Amino acid sequence: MGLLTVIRKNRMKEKEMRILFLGLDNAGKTTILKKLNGEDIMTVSPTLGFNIKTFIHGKYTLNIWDVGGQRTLRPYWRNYFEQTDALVWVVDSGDRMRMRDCKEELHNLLLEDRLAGASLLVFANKTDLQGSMTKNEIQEALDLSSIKSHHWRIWSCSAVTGENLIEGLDWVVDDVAGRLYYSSVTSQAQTPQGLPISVFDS
Amino acid sequence: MSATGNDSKPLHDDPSKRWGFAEVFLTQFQASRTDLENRLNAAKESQTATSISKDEVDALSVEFEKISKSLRDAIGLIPKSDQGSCEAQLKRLEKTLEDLRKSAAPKSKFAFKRKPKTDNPSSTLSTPISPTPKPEAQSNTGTQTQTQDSTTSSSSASTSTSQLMLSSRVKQYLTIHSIDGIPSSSTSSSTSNQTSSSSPQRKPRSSDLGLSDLDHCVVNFVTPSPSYVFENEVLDISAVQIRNVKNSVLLLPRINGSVMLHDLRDCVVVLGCHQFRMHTSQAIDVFIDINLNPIIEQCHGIRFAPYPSFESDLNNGTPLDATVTSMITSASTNNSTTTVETSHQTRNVPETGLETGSGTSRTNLSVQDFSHIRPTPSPNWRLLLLNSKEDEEKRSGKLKEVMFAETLVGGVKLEGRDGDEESLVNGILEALLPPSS
Repeated sequence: MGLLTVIRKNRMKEKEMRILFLGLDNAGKTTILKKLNGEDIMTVSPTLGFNIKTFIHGKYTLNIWDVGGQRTLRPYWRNYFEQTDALVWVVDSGDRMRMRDCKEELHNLLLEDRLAGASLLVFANKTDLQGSMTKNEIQEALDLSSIKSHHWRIWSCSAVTGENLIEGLDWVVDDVAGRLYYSSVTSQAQTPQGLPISVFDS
Repeated sequence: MSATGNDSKPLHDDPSKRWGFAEVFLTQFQASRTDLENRLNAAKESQTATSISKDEVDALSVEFEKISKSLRDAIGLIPKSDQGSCEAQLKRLEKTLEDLRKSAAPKSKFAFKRKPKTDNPSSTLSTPISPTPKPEAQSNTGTQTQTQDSTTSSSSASTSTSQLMLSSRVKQYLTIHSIDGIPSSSTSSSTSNQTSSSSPQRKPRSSDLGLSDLDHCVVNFVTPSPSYVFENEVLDISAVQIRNVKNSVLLLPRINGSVMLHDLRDCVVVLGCHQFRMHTSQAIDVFIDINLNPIIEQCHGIRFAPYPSFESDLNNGTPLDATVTSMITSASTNNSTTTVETSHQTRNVPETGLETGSGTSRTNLSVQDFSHIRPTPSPNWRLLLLNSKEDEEKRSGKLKEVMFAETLVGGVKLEGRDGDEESLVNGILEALLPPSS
């Protein structure tokens, strides 16, 4: 407990967060990031390795890692898990045919020890396209309701129009902030009562 | 375990640590939950009088986070039933909190405001232009989502509509009109004649196109142009998903978005797009217009060539091409303003893409093969034109013929002669598909 608390406290002082963007290829991870950062999204090309973006959001500095989602690249995702505060899972709402794939990859990720405790934001992207699946359909298809190990929330969004990108990011930042704040402030109050050490620290 | 009974309520069972904890936890949880609930309710009530401040909401959500974390920590240590009810309670609280937050901060500080994009003209125009289809479309709101959407275009919040989808077809000639819910070419061109004269401005509608489970089919979305399909909107295909297609020729227009292909076999694919990704496919000839590197993964025998252009036709000036162009021009003058635009587009775009020349010296197209991440050239793909040039030129000539000439007539003609469809498809497939190895 002790070391982790120290690390957390430290990080809170810096107010930094590390956010990992993952999802199948063609989901729009890079496009979302570029849009958030105010860059031109027409030049986005499939990510061959990874991108790192750092930007200020409210009181926090976000370090965002965007790793390519190509099947061949997915085994490399694990290299980016360390110290991740939040996972942003981007879904192509129009890609009905790969929803199962998408679900499996997501649920595999959630089993990862190193991602335990990370907040999960699901971006149902490309809702500007006609005929894309709704937020509820995706929630169903990805079986999000079964996720008990992580704090999660799904937002429908469009990287092209920018719809809901900020709102989603707001949520995940708030969620992480709440957690960091909580664990450093109330953990002392909690332990004397003999409560178990939280799952995150095991 | 000397149960001295410091409380008024001693534990009946063996007060094992586990249950002791559960009890302690649950009381704590309930207490803090009720507290938060009261605060939330108070905030909600006061909110009607004076708007609640963001700080207040933040404080409340911090409280909420504390409670929900304590619950998460306790998972596995408290009885399942209690856990379920606690979660349900939290859900409700979260909902209230969310509502509060929304009303507290109706506008976030920065938003990508996109102008509602010609929303006004289309909504004002749609009323006088299409007086007849409107009530009709409203009557079958449930099923005919396509038409319904075109009439209710003023509300840009697009609720779920069916995807443009073509699937499970064998030996057919498919155009945009083969999709359910899209009017046949004859009716659409007539309505577009009416409407286009009065409404040159149309609202582009971004759509997702899906093609799946096709065998021995010719799919032609180039002509007739999809652009004048809808009465008040230009259909804009901005994403394409293709899966499980065999022995087929797919002719697609240039689109702005991305194209995903899975499980194709022995096909000819013609398309222009921003991003191209092909997975688990074999023996495909891809005629492509793209600025980025196409990506292939787990593919074999993929050959790439430039998108057939009108430019080279005009330069070569063969009689066939002359007729093609004249047909296009006559068709566009006959039809509508939008057709003119699109036919211009098809002619102009080739100059911008990779295919600057007539396509003979295209060495700058580089394909990224994720199954072969090595400095050596990938064995899974090559450029089409570098090999047996004459043969391939003949083939791309035929391709152009099919794309722009035959189908321009064929799209209309076919309706009258259903019997010939199969032989037409067979003829095209025979001419275009490479001899299977």
